[in-house]
Amino acid sequence: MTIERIAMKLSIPKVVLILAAILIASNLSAEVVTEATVGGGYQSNLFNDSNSTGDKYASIGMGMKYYPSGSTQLAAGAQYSTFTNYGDLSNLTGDLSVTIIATPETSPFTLALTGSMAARKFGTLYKLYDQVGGMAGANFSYRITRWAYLQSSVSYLNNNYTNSDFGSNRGVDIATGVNLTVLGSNSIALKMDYSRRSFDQPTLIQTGSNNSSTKSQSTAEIFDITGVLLRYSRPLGERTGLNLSIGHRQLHVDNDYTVLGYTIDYLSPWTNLWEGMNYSGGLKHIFPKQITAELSCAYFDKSFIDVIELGEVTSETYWRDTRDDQLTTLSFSISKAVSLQNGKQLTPSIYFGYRKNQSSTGFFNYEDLSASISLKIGL
Amino acid sequence: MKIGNLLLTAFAILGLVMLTTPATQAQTCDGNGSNFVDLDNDGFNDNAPDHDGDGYPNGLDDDYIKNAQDGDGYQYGKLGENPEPKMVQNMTQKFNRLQTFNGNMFQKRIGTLGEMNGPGAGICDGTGGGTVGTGICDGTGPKGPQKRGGE
Repeated sequence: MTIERIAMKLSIPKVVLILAAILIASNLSAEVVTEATVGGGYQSNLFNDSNSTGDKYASIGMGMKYYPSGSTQLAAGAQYSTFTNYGDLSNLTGDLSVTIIATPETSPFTLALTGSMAARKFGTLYKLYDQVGGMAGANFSYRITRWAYLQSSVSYLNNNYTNSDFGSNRGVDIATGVNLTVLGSNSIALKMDYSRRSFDQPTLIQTGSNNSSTKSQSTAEIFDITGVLLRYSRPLGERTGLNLSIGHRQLHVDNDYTVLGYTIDYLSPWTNLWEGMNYSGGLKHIFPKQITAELSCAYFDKSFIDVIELGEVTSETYWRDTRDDQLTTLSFSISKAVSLQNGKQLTPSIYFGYRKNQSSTGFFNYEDLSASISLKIGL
Repeated sequence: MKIGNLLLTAFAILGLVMLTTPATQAQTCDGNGSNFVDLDNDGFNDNAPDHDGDGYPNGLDDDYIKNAQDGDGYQYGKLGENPEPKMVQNMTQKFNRLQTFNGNMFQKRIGTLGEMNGPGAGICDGTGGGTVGTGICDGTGPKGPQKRGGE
């Protein structure tokens, strides 16, 4: 039985019940870490478009990690989020994972095996985006010297949109890279990755002389993605860390490759289908009293796969459109770990984020401001 | 494209300046940088001792008690505390680090529901934001303040 079928059989209520049982049992064992998170916030642009639709939200979640041995971790989590005005956007998420480190700690080789399943369920209006996914993979690290590490990773992923004929995808990810420490405490990492994905999507057959097309049955389209990433990090003084990165991603698809535009919003399976450069930088500072602040910014130059837009809701005429975006993001967060006398920990956090997107398609010119607070409680 | 070239130039200049500037590093084991490793790319030394497993290196940890009288320094937390929770926290840190390493291997993973950032309430464009986190993330951007399973 495939991971997908097992996950499909496990409905979210069942996952929640299993988690509750595990959480209760967790109090009986010292090798278990449990935590709850509550939070809420406001986002001024929920759908990442020029309509700027905002809403308040609140969330509650629980997570558990169990260590049957020093080399094995079983983890489970569930979270429910509710929106004030867009009730159907409220969603329940559950995930399970197992990680096994198959090599001794003293070895320069590290081999870790991971398997995970996750599911997400929305309200009626957004049930098209309900998902069940699974992943299995292996990660390998080799310490060449004290200052040089070789890293590789391979995994198979399967993500299913359970209420949609289109969008489900599956494929293999492979990555390899090297991490070097040079000239004292400068860390440089160079990584390359390759992905092959098969997406279920409708085939559009051109029927007219212009852009008129007809949607036919779902077929699996395969395409390849390659990427290269350069990361740099170092301390700035005793309490501050700096990180910078530059990356480029390339889609290897035919020039006439298109996706249907009616789902090209933030929940779309095709939201990630872009290529281009990305730059990011961040500062992390640990203040006295275990207060941590993080400031990050990023810039993305995205060229999306061409989108086929429906001419009119009632028609079968589709129009092809191109989309190029420049997205700038800025975020700041601050958190404080509070240790209780019984050894447990509370961590309140505050987050602010700002995003500005400039697009060749006017509809996707937008700004977004978000603020949220959360409290993580060790149980 | 113009902005991209500017950013590329700025990164190159900044990188060269940084490479040649010595760093102060209380986080480092031996204080001279010879043991510095930063696989999780946060600018802090992964090898810095964190005996109570709370994610804060001993040198920056207000809970840390140097030369505690248990004969073995500060191996399992404060004096008189139950040692077991600290051992579990250390295991959690080890696996968190492994997950961060795995996440850093890819600049983005397409269609991975299981790799959402944060508690993940709803909306996310993969650019790393959200303490409460709101959505189905694509893992593209800089790390959000709360990764699944750890800091």
